[in-house]
Amino acid sequence: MLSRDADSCFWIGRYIERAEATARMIDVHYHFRLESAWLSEPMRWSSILSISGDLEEYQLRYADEDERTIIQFFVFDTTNYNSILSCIRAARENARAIREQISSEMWQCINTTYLDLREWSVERVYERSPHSFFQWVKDASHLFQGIANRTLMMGESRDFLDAGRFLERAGQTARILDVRYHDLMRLAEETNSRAQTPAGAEEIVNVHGWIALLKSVGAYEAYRKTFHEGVTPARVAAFLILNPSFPASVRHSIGRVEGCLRRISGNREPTPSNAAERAVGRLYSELTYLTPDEMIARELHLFLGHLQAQCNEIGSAIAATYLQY
Amino acid sequence: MLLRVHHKTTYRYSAPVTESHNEVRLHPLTDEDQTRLEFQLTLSPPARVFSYEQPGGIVSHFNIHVPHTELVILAESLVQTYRHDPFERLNWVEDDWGFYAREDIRQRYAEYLAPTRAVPFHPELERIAQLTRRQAGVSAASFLYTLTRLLHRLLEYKPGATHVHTTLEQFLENPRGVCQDFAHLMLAVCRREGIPARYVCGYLYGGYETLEIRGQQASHAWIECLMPGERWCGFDPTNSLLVNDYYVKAFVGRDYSDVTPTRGVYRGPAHHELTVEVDVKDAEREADRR
Amino acid sequence: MGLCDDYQTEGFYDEMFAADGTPRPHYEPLYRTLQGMRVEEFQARCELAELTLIHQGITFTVYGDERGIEKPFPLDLIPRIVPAHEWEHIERGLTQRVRALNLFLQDVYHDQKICRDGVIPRELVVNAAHYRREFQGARVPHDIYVHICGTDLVRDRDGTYRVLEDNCRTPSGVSYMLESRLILMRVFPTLFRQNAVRPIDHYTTLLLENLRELAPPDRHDPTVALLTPGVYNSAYFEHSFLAQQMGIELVEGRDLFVNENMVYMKTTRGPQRVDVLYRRVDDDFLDPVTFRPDSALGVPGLVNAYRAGNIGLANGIGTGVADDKVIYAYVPKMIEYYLAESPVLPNVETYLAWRPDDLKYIVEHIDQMVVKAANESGGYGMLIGPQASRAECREFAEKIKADPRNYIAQPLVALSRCPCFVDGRLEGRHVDLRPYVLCGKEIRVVPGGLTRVALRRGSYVVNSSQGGGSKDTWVLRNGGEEEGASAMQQAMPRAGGAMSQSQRGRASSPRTGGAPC
Repeated sequence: MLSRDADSCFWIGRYIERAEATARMIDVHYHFRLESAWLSEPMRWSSILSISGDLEEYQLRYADEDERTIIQFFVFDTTNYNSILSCIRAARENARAIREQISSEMWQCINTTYLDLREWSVERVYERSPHSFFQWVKDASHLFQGIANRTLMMGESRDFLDAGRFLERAGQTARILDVRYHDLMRLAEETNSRAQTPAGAEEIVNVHGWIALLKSVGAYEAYRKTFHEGVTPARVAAFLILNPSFPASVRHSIGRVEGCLRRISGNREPTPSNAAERAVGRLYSELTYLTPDEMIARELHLFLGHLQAQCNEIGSAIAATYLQY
Repeated sequence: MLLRVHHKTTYRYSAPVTESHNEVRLHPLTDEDQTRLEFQLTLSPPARVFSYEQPGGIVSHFNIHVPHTELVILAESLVQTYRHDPFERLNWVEDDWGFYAREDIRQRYAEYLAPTRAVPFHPELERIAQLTRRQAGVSAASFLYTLTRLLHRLLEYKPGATHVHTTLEQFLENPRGVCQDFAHLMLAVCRREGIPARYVCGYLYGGYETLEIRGQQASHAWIECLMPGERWCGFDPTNSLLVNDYYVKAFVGRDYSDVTPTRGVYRGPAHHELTVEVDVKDAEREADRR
Repeated sequence: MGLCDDYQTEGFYDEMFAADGTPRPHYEPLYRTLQGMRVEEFQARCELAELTLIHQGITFTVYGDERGIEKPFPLDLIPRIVPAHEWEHIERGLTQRVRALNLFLQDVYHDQKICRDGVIPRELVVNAAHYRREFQGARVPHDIYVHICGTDLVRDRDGTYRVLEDNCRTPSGVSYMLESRLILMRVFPTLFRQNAVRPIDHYTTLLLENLRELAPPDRHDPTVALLTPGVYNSAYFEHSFLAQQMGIELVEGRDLFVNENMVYMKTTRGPQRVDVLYRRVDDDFLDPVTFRPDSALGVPGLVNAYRAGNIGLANGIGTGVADDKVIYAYVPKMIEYYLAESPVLPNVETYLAWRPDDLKYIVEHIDQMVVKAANESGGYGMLIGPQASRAECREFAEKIKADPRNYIAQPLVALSRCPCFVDGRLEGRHVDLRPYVLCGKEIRVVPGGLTRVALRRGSYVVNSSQGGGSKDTWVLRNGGEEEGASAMQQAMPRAGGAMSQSQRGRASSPRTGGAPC
């Protein structure tokens, strides 16, 4: 397979996943704000700017952190390279460049999604209810993935597409957890230190906050099935990072990336055959053998930073091995 | 004469070049004026060289895929030249312009009569031609010799005043330049007068003593005109000379772009430094000395 | 009221209707169908077709339009029908023409006999803008330079097919020919049963066969790739479509590299040798070492690798000299010179400004002529005298006088018209026809072509960059006209059969249009 085509597949996977992650994050944040609106210190919009790493960028361009502007920024602003529209457009551009490699159904799906998305605006999102809009974005991503599963030949293009998708997913999960964890801990502290807190405030932060976090990565129901006891920060972190079966956990995603890379190289030996396999294999064994207690003991923020750095390294190693030489 | 030519081109890059593709036109020609006896192309870093013939001469090309910060192209050749007396066989007395009006001649040499991007038909050319006619005799050879000398007088030789992409218009506005500019201007005048003329790239031997000859340090350029009787004769406006056996031809073409001695593309830093060293020696004299 | 009722031919040769307003025999079945259809019904099918075009991204790019860079290719649903005997004539003419063009190119890049024999002045050849002096004397596989030729045909007022120009470099549009057919089969499945339309979908198979023939002789299972300038090229859709249909890699210059005269593509498994390139990049941009040094689209070293015989290129290098409109005027002479035959398809009468007498005539009659620059295409660089202002004519006359070698003039051909569905009714629009000729060990013309339509009323410019559209082109099987009527009678029960099948809940989408595109 042409390296450039592999590169396009890899990035289509990443962009579509990124668009979906953004949609989930804003959707959940939007609803959590509604629930926590009566707190004296409600969840701020700026926290999701930190998740996406766009805080500075945003503040350069916009004065207010009002909801509409935020939605404009995350969904429609084409000068924001991570906005949903930018991601879908970039995915489409990549798909257009390799139309003959992917199935025509995949192209049609991504093309139609892009054309439809261009018809939306912030006004229309409010008119139709934000939730249904974000649901539509998620559906589009799932539809694309489903079509890819159903119509794209098993082989390198599919493995690069999946490698991109799962690597992006691992990174997104680590990032959301990192920022949210930090926010919720801060909120909890503020709520506790105040002499008079409104009744139920603690519950909102300590329970609903974590539920919202689970929902934002689509993990709430899966979590419930796994843990029958309550929602605690440590359990949530352990679930999202180390659970082997949940499709958006970091461990599961990295395992999938490794599977893709092994299929691409055809390497069946336990030892890695190139830099990309080495990077992904190292992270996967770390996540496989780590216990939740050990992880919490390592200071979560630092550990999540380490995970994100590892994901970046895997991305660079894949590029150097296969895509740009 | 037996001339030994040593032509070294060095490209230096500020950062490693990972890929480089080059075409060179450095083989001396073999024709009625000269015979190429030896030729060797040495490259550093080394590369496999491929060669083929084009109208105008031999092209060699090679590519390099190992990182390098310096590329050296060394061309060494030994050439026997024959045109001892360039005035021989030239007609100075009879009006022989009828030759250029012949349709068969105009068609057979059509590419050497047409303007090119580097040799456009500028209105100023007519004035130069008139000036030449006023001083010249009736024959074509007389016109061309007069033109050679006139251009040498009108134009100032000034290395560095122009570069390989200077246009004829720019040169006419500010008539200072090097052999390439002199040659392009003379080509334009000749073609407009209906004389088939071609660009020649090669080397010039400077003599035993240090004569004031231009174009010794680098490859030199002059032109050849088709003379009545259908043979080519060289004129060097830069030195105001008829071309004799001190000259070695490497490649001929419609203008500079056909004959570029070395050209190529590379992947690497935006800037490079180019140095060219040319040395032409009398090989017989050299042998005697030994 | 039928769709065709108030249709006017307005004195032009009409593809569908004779001068007296009756439908030509080969259009009979279509005529009856249209007459039996309500406007709304036809409109609905148009919308369906347009939606298909947009969703499949069948688009072209318009340069200089910054907003939406892609536009769907306007497809008019009324097919252009060519009866078998007319096609036989066209096929014979094109085969003859392309044979002569290849002999011409072989000759001018070697001995130039045609010039020495005084048939074509040598100066026109060697000073043509697209003549490649560097390529003089180079051998090409099987001595064939043009492997894919798109020749533009027009019909004049009395219906005679004439050649308007040849495209020997990188003719485009064949994907629209193939896609138009698929869409029409979806939108009007029954029409295909009523007409004996010859299929065209083997085009890409033939093309691939031809391309494989160009591989170096020692390469038994050659790797073929399509070289595109990239996603921003106006014909990118076509490049991608053809690569997909042939199952070959679509590569850009940056995917390829040359080492020691061999061409490789960069794959995830390392470098892989490429044997044949169907290149859709112009000569100028193909190789920055040999041609334009500023080209980022090309592959350094490619031209020398081609010259060394290590890679096949289609089309060959330097074919543009045959596209020169001054050289075009000599094609009938070429046919006589090389083949000792008289041309089957005549040219359009052409005046060469390069000849003093012609120049005088052109300048005096400029308001009655179409003047074209010798090396422009896409409808650029031309003047349509009868539709231009006096100032425009004057300005153009000066241009011609300043550079006569580069202009030709032709009388305005009253191009034939074909009914098009415009604003809810049928109106006549001017059309041309570009069939595609494939030239390998044998010469093959796929029965069909791209019929281009000047969609603006009265316009003669059919180029897609200038507001042109397309039509599906149906070449009928021999005896197709007579077959049409009997097939029509069989159509009803068959349609019924299909319906009961779908009622059983199977095959609800008709298989006729089933091929994915």
